Amino acid sequence: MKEMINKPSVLVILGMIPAVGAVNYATGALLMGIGTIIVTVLTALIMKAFAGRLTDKEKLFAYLFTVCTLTTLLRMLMQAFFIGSFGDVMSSWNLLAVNAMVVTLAAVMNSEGRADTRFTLNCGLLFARLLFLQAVSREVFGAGAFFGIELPFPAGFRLPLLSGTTGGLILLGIIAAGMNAFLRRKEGRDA
Amino acid sequence: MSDKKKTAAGGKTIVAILAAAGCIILLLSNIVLGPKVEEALQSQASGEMTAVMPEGKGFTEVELPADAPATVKHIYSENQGLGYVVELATTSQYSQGDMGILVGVGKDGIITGTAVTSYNETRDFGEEYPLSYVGQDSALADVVMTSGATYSSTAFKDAILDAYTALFTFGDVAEGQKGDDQLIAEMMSSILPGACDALGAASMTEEESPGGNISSLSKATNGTGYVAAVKSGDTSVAAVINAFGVCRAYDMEGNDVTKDSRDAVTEALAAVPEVTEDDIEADKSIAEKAFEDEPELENIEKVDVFGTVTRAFLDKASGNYAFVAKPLGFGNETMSMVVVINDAGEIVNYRSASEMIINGEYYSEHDLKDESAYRQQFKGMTEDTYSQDKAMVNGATITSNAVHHSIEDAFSAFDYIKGGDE
Repeated sequence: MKEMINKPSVLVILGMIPAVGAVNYATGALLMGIGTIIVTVLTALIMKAFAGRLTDKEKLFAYLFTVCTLTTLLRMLMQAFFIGSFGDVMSSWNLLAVNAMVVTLAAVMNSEGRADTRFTLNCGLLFARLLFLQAVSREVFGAGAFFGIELPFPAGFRLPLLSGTTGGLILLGIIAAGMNAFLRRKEGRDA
Repeated sequence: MSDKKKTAAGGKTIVAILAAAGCIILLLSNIVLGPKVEEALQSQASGEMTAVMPEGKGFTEVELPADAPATVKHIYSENQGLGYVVELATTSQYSQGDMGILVGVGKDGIITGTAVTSYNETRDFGEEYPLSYVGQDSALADVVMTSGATYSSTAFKDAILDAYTALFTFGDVAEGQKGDDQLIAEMMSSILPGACDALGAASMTEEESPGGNISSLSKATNGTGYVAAVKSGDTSVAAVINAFGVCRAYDMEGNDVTKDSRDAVTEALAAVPEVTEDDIEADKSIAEKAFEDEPELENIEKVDVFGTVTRAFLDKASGNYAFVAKPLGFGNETMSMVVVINDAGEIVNYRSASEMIINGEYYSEHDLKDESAYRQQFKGMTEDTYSQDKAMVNGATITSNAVHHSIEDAFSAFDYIKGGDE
């Protein structure tokens, strides 16, 4: 179990759970994914200068302060310049701090205490891709729309369950299982 | 001091510097971006409100009246005094979350716009339904519920009425006047209760008006009767005719004016089809199945009740009475129930002419595992010993209510026949 939790990819998936509850449409997932990448990469860049001089406990606080500051700053910038278009996403924007913290920790875990910028970017991309994938699936098959545009999708074939949190978590489980199977096959080939 | 301690001390300083830097950055951002954020938020809110009040130039939130309905969340006054925008949140039995509504109401009481800001219903009432409110006054005379999404559309309508309730307390919003036809339509559920659906609304279909003084004629979908709007001088009366061909007349305040409206009653009775032998035979064949021995059923005419009972028979062989009731069940389907009552007023048999629980009726499991035992339990009950809880089945509320109405109405019809409720 401990070994499983220590895998960055597993941690990223677990960290997605709150976001899955809040984001079930493509636009929201795209914005939240991009926001998470921006915050985590900037955090990694800032912490690069200090990480070597901090103990593990201090690093946690330092990451937390940095992530929260950047999330709030990004929120203010979004609100000041883009809120008219993205009002819906703003209501769950604070979750970005959780996302970014989880992604950062996943990256730190794999880099012996330092958040390697490239690896952090990869973790952020993984997070954004998975969040986007589940949100698009839910929007298309749950609400019959794509980026808010209604699809010529017969109402009888829609699965309203997918739009809710339960449907999102079921979908996340399916994605995680698929990813696990892919990684196992890849590991087998590499061996 | 050791190296480890030095590192630890240096680390704490770095963390403190990071925290302080974060605070300073956010403080400066707030000074620089704060007004812009505030402006953007106001502009967004104002934009939403302008969508429901296009003439509006700006909006200011006003204090909610103390007795405002719970669905009313915020009220904004248009800055030039054009009217109000009300923010509402409501739910229905098909809600997975709040239904957010914005409605603009001018000082003349006319709805300037509606918008659904969040929708979490499992049944979709469509985009046209909220727009059908635009241009209406508080009477909401021309609003038609969306078929297939009755609960959700009723929740929407009730929320709009709540908005008016709150706005009327300000004293500067005009109240719409209801026409006679609308008053009669609203009265139908109380003057013809047998036609009520699970929501308590009369389920009626509009018939072609026969002309003369009758301006509208509606027929109950379950065959419990008709309601006619009959002009009588400057006003109208609501003439309600039950399945036995008995007519009563009501004025616009809901008072029984049958004795003073003989002409209206005669005209209304002439406008509806008479009870035919075929109608009686059809119900008789349903009633006969509720008897173990071959009954000798005699039709009882002119029973003055307006519930779900559509036919009454006397079994000459046993002296028992059979009442055929047609309450509305799930999905407004008409159910056929037979209640047999003996001369002492005890239920002798209770029978449903069709499957009691309609297939696929309920999302959850219901507790009606043994329908026969459920029906048997009513045997021997009288009007005094029967109560609604006896008919209740967990998970099948609508059917239970239909059963309850059929029994309650059969007792009323029995009382009328025996002369106890004349």
